[in-house]
Amino acid sequence: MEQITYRLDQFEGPLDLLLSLIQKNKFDIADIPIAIICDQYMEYINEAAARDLDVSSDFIVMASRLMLIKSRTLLPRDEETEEDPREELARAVIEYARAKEAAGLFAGMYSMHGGRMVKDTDEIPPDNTLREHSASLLAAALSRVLSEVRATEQSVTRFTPLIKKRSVSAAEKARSVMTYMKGRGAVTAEELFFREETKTDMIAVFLAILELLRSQRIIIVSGDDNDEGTLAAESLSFELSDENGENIDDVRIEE
Amino acid sequence: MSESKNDIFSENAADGTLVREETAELLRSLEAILFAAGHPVTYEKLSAVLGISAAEVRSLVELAMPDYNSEDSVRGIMLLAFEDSCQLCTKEQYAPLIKEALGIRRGGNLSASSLEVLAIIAYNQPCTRSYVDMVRGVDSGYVVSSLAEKGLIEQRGRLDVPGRPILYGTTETFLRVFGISSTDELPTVAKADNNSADVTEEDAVSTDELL
Repeated sequence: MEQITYRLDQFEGPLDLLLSLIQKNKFDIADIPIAIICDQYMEYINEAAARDLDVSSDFIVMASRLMLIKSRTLLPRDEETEEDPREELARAVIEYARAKEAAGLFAGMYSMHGGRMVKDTDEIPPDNTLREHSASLLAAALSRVLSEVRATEQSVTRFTPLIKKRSVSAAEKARSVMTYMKGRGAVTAEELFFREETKTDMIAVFLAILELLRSQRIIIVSGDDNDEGTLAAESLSFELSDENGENIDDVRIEE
Repeated sequence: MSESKNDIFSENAADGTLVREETAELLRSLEAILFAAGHPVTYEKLSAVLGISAAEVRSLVELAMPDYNSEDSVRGIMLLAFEDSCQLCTKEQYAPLIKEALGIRRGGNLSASSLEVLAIIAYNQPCTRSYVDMVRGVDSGYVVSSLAEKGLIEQRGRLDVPGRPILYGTTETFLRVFGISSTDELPTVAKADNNSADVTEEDAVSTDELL
C-alpha cells in the first residue's frame, strides 16, 4: 500500500514538507537557512509523532539528513574544493518543486479532458461455419510428418524396448490434443503431430483429430480464407469449437 | 482508386461541401475501423487496410477532423490524432451524462501523488521508478503500478545498468485524458537548468544521459 503521508498534513513526502516550509518563510532555495529549516522541520515531525501518528521513515531520514547538513555547515570548509553542504538538498527541493508544479498543471489538464472515454475493442466472434475440406489434407499432413519422422526414428531406437508393443489410446490423445489447444487459438496439424515421438502416437493423434472433428469439438480454420480450395497441408489448422470445445472430461472415443 | 488521393483531398480542402465518392468511402471506412477498434489504430495499419499511403491516411484523418472536432459539430464523438495513430473517443463534456446513463458513480480521479508521479515520468521519460522515488523523496512503487494498471504509463524496456530496472513512459491513454496529441505539447515547467542535470545520480539515471 501507499505509505501513509497524509497524516502529516497533506504532504506527499519530506521534500514536500520541506518545500512548504521554505515557501512559507519565503526563503531562497539556493540559500536555505539550514538551522531554522531544520528546527521547523523537527518541530513538525515531533508534533506529528506526539499526535500518536506513525511518522513514515522517509520523514525521519530527511530529519537526519537535515541534522547532518546543519552540523556540516558549522564546520569550516574549503570553498574551492568542497561543495556547499546544502547544495544537494537545494537541488532535490528544486527538482521536487518542478515536479509539483507540473503535477498542478496536470491536474488542470486532467480535470478538463479526463472525461474523454473510449470503448473496448469489439469482440468479433470467430467464424464457426463448417466448410468443406478434403480429408486428403489431413492425410497429407500426416504423411509429411511421418516421412520426416522415419528418417529420425532409427537413430532413436538404439536399444530393444522391454515392452515391444505399447498401446496408445486415441481418447487419451484427444484429451491431450484439446488440453494443448486450450488458449492457443489456431493450431496447425503439424504442430499436433510433432508433439508426438513415435509413429504409433501420431496415428493415435490422427484418429483423435478425426474424432474431435466429427464430434465438432474442434473445427478447421484455414490460415487464409482466400485459398480455401488450394489449402496447403502445412496451413491446415484447428481451433477449439465454441460449443463443445471447453469440456475435456467427457471426451469418449470408442476404441 | 487509381487517382492520386492527394488530389482528392486537396479538392475537398478547397471546397468543403464536395466530397468525392472515393474519399467518402475512405472516410466511412476509417470511422468504422476506429469505432470497432476503440483503441488507437496506427496510420501504418490503416494504410495497409485502406490501400493508401500512410501520408494519405494522415491527410484523410485531417480531412475527417472538422466533422468531429469543430465547434459546430453535431457529434458527441471526437477524433484524436496522435503521432502515429488515431482514435475515436467521447467528448469530455458528456462524461457526466455518460456516467449517469451507465450508472457509474465515482472513479476516474487521480490523487495528488499519482499526478506527481505522472508528471515526473512524463517529463523525464523513459525513466525508472527509482528516479521517481528520488525526485519525490518517497517510495512510489504503489503509485507507479497503479498508473500502469490504469494504462497511463507503460514499460519502455529496461535500463542497461545492474538490476536492469524497468523504464516507464506515458501512453496514448495519457495523451487522450490530458488533452494533448504528443508529449511535445506538455506545458513547460520552470527549469532549474544550472543544476538539474546533477540531480540524476547513480541508479536513477536520467534519459538525457541515455540518449
